[in-house]
Amino acid sequence: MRHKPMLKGSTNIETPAVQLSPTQPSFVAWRQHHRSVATESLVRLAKHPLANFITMLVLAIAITLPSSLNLVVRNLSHLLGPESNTLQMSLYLTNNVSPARAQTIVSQLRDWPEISQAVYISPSEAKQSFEQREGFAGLIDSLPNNPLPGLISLHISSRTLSNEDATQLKQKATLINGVDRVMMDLQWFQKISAIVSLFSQLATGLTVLLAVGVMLVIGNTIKLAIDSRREEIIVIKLIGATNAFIRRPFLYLGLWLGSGAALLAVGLSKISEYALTYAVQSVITAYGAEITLLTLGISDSLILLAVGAALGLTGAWLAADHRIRSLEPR
Amino acid sequence: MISFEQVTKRYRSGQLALNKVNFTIKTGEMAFVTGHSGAGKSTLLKLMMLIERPTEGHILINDVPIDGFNRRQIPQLRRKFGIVHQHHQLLSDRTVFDNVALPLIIAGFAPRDIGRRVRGALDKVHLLSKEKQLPEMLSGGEQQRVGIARAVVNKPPFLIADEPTGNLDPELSAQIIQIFKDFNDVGVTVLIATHDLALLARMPHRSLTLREGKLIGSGMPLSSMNKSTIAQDQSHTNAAQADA
Repeated sequence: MRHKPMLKGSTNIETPAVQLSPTQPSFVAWRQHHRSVATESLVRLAKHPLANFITMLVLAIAITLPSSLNLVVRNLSHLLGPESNTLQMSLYLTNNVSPARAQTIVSQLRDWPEISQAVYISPSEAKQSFEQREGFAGLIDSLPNNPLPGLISLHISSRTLSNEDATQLKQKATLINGVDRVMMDLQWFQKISAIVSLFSQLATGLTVLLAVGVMLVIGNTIKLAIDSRREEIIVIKLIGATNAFIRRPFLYLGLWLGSGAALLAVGLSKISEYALTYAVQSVITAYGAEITLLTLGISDSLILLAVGAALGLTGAWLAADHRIRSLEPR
Repeated sequence: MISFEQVTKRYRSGQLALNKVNFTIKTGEMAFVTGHSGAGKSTLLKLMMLIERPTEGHILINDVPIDGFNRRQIPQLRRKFGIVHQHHQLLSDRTVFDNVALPLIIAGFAPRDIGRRVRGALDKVHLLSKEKQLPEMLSGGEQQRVGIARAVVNKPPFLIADEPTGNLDPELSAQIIQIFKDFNDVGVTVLIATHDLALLARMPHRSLTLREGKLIGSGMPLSSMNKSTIAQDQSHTNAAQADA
């Protein structure tokens, strides 16, 4: 029901215009509102720089721990795990296999997706290498026949090769006509895999725990912020503010805290990474190995930022939603 | 239009704040709610804005029953009311301008409109020059006028005031009431809760008199009559007024 204005006498008060249908917020106004709320939240953060910086630093450390451990796991699996091509398999051929037949087997093996490299080593090559390496020149010559069999050396490449896959691969190779025995350093592979997966599980567990911790810390900060603005919230509820409207500045606060912490975490990771790389590189150089370490790249940093922002937003939401609902005018 | 139909409010404590209250305030009307403290004035106002919900009966705002409103519908309802409190309820860390702008920001107005409307509202209460000050720098009467500016800035159809003159001297009270009358003159429905009987006696407006949760009067104050008899006489004219 729309009311009819009743103008009496001369007055400088405007006639109430659209009365019962509140102005629909336009997109422009909505965007401007968000911008001003976001800025206002930032300004509020900046009003207590030290306290908020310490909060963010705590959060940053909580983010850096699992992210660094994840990086360590990735390096481990890169250097020693399945990705590193450390898993080798040797196919010992029966004596009656001709070099030509051996080459056929090699090309056949190269078609297998798991095999990255296949090299045939003939009995005479094996003898040569044995003599050179072990320093037993003439030992094999003293025997009536070369006892060393022909050998196909394989590098296994599959990044996702499980222990079962490796065992199956070994069985499959055993069935090839002309293959006498298959040797695989499966034990070493299994040990490394176990260690890597242990670290990886540890990292996952720590990630989940600390993510929850980050959300709780942000949630608690938001709760305190809401309580300090209790009166204000009740007043604006009374004049028709929706819970979403009241929640908004606190969600931005959570967003800023989370992304700020993640940004700090990227900085911390980079500093510790720089220090570590230097130390590790000198060890690696001492062993004469050529290894490049995986570091926190741009995409990793962006992911970290997104995760920080998401944690901040979620933590703020969980804390604010309930708290704001419970504040009602009396 | 605001209608109460057999409205009863019993608080959880067991206190009966309103007992089967019936009345209608028409669009464009200006009316008072009177009674001693504890008579149910505040409860009446709280029920309209769904700060409290009726235990029984129905409340209709512009023919829409509001007692079934859910949590999400409440903000829209409250935006139809401009509310003036005894303790003005201004935000002390924001300027006069920002305080008055709140209802507009909440309703999603564009910043350009906000500036224009806030200055318009402040002009009506003669406080345009104080827009940059903080509420605590103003006198009691000025703070109350800021509260009024905030209540009307959104041009709500209803203006509700709970003891708006409670802390003010008679001269300031008269000023404040005049401002309410000005708004009523342009069609805003005004409802003022007050126990200031002297103020009422001078007003040619209907007043709803509450005693212990019951509506015992709903008629024009007759300044020639003995004040103590007003309530009794008005209770007889209750039905007639509701039909009018």
